[in-house]
Amino acid sequence: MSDFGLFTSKFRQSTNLLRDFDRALRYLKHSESHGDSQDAIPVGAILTVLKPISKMLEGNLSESNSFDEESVIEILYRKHGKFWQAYKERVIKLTNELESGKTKVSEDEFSTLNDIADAISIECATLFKRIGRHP
Amino acid sequence: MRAYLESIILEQINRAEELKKKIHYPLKYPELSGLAERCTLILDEQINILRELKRELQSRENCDIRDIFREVRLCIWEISLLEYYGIPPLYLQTPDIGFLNKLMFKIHQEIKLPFPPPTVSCTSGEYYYSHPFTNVIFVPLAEPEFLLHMPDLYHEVGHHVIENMKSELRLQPIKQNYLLAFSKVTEYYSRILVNKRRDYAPPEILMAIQRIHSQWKDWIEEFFCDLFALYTLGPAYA
Repeated sequence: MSDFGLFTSKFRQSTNLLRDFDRALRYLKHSESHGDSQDAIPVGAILTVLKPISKMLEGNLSESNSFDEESVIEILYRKHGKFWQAYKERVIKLTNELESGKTKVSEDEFSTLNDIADAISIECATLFKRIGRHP
Repeated sequence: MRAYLESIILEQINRAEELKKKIHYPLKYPELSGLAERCTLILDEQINILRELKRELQSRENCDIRDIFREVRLCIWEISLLEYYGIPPLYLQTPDIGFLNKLMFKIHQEIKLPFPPPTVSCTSGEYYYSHPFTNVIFVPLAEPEFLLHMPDLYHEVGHHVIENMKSELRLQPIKQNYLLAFSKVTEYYSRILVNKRRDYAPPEILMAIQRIHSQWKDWIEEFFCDLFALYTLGPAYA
């Protein structure tokens, strides 16, 4: 398979991941605005994204094969610039809290998650352009 | 921004409807029916998602539509990919496409794949490649006239095995071993990373190790597909 195949494969994985992540975020938004119980938050879809990112932010290698967390971190790094260290710590803290059963997400944390979704979307756009450049 | 998104949503719904019209029924070759069904299902799904997003948009403030914007973009990409890599063989339905799909159907029966056969389209501009989203393998135009490159079809089928192993129970042993192989790669590079940290290696070296590990995520799939072709076809692939 050519590079094209690699890009389409990565694109497919990243778009599936983004769609699940966004659905989980929308669910969060709805349950907050309607004051519903948050027991059933689809944390799995959020952690599938957060865990590999946090692992890399902590300086370890991630076994996740579902998206290119390295590129996503680079995009986040470019966006947060001099506030990177604080942002990085927020992501790691949020991941740990969600892993240990936290079910409420504050407005700031919601914005942190939205930034990550934006970064995955930018990564998808880059992959899509690469696929489009194919003869 | 809301008005802009709303008009894009309407345009994309129309685009998806138009693409459905490009699938000519009755199909000339029954082997293409899987692709026709897949394309129709995906297009209908995108239309439904877009309609839902249009409704959701009404209840949102202008500053609160980041997720809708992302989801609309996803729909646009998926509709475009179907237009580029799914609909063309259904629109063209040439005798060569018919021949290659009959051949793929025979291969599929012979190697007993536990999922529907991929479609083959001879409209490639760059040798063989697969599109896992549409389930189509692309080969060059004159490929039906030659035999020597045909073993590469098996390599491409390998990509569809990987795509299907996530949801097909009969492919679970493959999935488990595939993940095991990658975890061994991760273990290996983690050890190197720990040793280099212990030796106070410069950050560039640590980044290079992370980058090499990340590259394996792409290439392990290629190695798997080569092995798949080798085990299913034998010396002809080697």
